[in-house]
Amino acid sequence: MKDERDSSLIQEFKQGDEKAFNQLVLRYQKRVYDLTYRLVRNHEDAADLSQEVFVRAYSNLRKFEERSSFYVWLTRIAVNLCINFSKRERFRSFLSIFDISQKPEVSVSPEEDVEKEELRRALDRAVKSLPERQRATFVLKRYQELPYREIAQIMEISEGAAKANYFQAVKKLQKLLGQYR
Amino acid sequence: MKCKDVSPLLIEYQENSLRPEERGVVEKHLRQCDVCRKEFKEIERLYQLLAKERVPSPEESFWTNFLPEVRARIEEKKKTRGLFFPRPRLVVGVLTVLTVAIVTVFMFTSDQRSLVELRSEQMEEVTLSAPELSSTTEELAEILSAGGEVSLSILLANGEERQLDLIEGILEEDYLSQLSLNSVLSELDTEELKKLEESIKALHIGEIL
Repeated sequence: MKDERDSSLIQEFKQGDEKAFNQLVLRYQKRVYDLTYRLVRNHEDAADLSQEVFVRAYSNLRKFEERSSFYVWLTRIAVNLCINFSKRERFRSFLSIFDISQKPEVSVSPEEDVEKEELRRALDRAVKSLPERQRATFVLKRYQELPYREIAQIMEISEGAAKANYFQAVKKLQKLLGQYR
Repeated sequence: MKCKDVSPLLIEYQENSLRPEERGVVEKHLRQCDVCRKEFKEIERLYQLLAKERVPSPEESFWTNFLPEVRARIEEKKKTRGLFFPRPRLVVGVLTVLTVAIVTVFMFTSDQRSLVELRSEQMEEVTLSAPELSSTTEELAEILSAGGEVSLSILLANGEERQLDLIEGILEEDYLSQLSLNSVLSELDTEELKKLEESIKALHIGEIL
């Protein structure tokens, strides 16, 4: 559903008001960060990618025709960026024989609850093991609470395929996280 | 309703997204079927687990700096190359990945054809002895980059582990840095390109390229 305030800011931006774009960033920065974090599962990359989402949005906003809501459009940019990022990460792991450095695991501080930390890592591993598009569908449905219709728009697939992706993701997580219940 | 019909509905039942009539059917089935009840309990536990996870909140300064950093990136792009040009880092990245993939495939394909072989049909094959190989990597890199003076396939065929390591080192450090992707690809014929593409796909990297 289109948001009137968004539409008005987009029109102002298209008419040359740069500050209107700032308002759009401020409105959606937390939601976009949350989405990118859920997809890449670490702060450093999520911070970088969420900022990049807005840079891409700025480049293309004049061409945006509002056939979907601004947030759905922004989410599509974020998902595509994160999918490409995750593929590159997977490829870097594959090329580790060429001595490409891996990110170190985050260390657990003494006061951190070991059980929670263990669960977090298990969730990280499980979610990261999902194929990129399945992972994106899962995050959009489970955490962004988007309907299948919008997920289908974002992922450029049918609603049926979005639903199937989500079910497969849940089944896989169920299998991978069985021991942590 | 049978188990095979109910099972796909259990996730939506958990999410309260079924129509009332479907919900009623699933509830009735769950009261009668131990297997589906167990499956539903597992789904319920997974959702409880997922609900425990929270995205850690970044420090307040992250949010304060967010917009200025986005603005700085936009200005930087405007200054350097405009917003609508492809990013050089991306282009370099793709070229590097392609080059490494090509060399990897060449190193492991059955006929072990060398890039040097492809570069020159007039080359003269020379087999280097172990003492010659033990000279500096720079020397051998020079031979390779000169083209047409040594067959890498011969080195690989006769090679011992030390020699292969040496060649691998050269390929990574020197040869790759001197090769342009275009020059490599332009030397391949249709069949070789097809073979290369199949090999890359077999390595599960095709979708990235």
